[in-house]
Amino acid sequence: MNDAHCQKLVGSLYQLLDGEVTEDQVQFLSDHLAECGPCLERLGVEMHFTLLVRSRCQNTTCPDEVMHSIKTALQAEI
Amino acid sequence: MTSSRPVPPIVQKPEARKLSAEDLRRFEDEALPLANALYGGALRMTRNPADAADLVQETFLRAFRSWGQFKEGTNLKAWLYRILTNLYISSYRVKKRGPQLVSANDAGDFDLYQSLVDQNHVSESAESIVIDSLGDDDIKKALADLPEDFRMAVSLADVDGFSYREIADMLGIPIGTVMSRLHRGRKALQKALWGLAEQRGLVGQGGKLR
Repeated sequence: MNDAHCQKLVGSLYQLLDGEVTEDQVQFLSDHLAECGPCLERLGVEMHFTLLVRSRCQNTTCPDEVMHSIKTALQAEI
Repeated sequence: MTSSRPVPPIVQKPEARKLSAEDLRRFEDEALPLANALYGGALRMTRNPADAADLVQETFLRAFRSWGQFKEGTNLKAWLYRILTNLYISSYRVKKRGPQLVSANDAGDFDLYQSLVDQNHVSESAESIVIDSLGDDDIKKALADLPEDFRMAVSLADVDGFSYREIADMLGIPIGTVMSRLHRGRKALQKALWGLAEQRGLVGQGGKLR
């Protein structure tokens, strides 16, 4: 545990999760995660939450009648 | 995450060339399989099935009319979403946009991890968190109830898997603003779902899970 390092990790947590960190950040963050259990758990929780939102909200289907009217409208364009 | 291939700009050049049956066949093969994703996105934006249906249909029509300008090898889903988002912002949002309750609903300080620790529920946290036991509809509703700017950012990043750059381009805002909306939006969503878990008695007052 190192409070300053933990703070830095918390500040870049979402970037890390989203694959949006720079190369020098990656090195620091992976070094810190290797030695700090709580930060690793925190990352796990945030990752879990993001995947949960994705899996629960992604299962929407475009209704058949909407697909049908899209195809009809497209057909009228040619 | 979705690949971050560049999203080409949408240039509306009316009647650039007449579209053929072959164009339609290609469009149907390549673009229409994304209808479920687009409809889901439209539903999360409009929060209303009738508006979502109109928005998706209009998006596909405009996309087809601009089909000649879509560059093979660039990200088709991001291109379609850009048309969808632009349409939503320019037409649907203007007439229906309600008050933005951002300050009243700011949960920038909510800490899901710390809440789990306080509930003695962190050891298995990476495998399951208490929010897992809420239903799909609970989670969809909590997302739908977020203030619009947060809802758009969380929806585009977490559900649709777009990169910061792609979202910034779609919404016409700087990357820093995307990051800040995403941060606050995720915290607000976590806070709302944690509150729901409390209401349901899934987490107790005494620091223990039931």
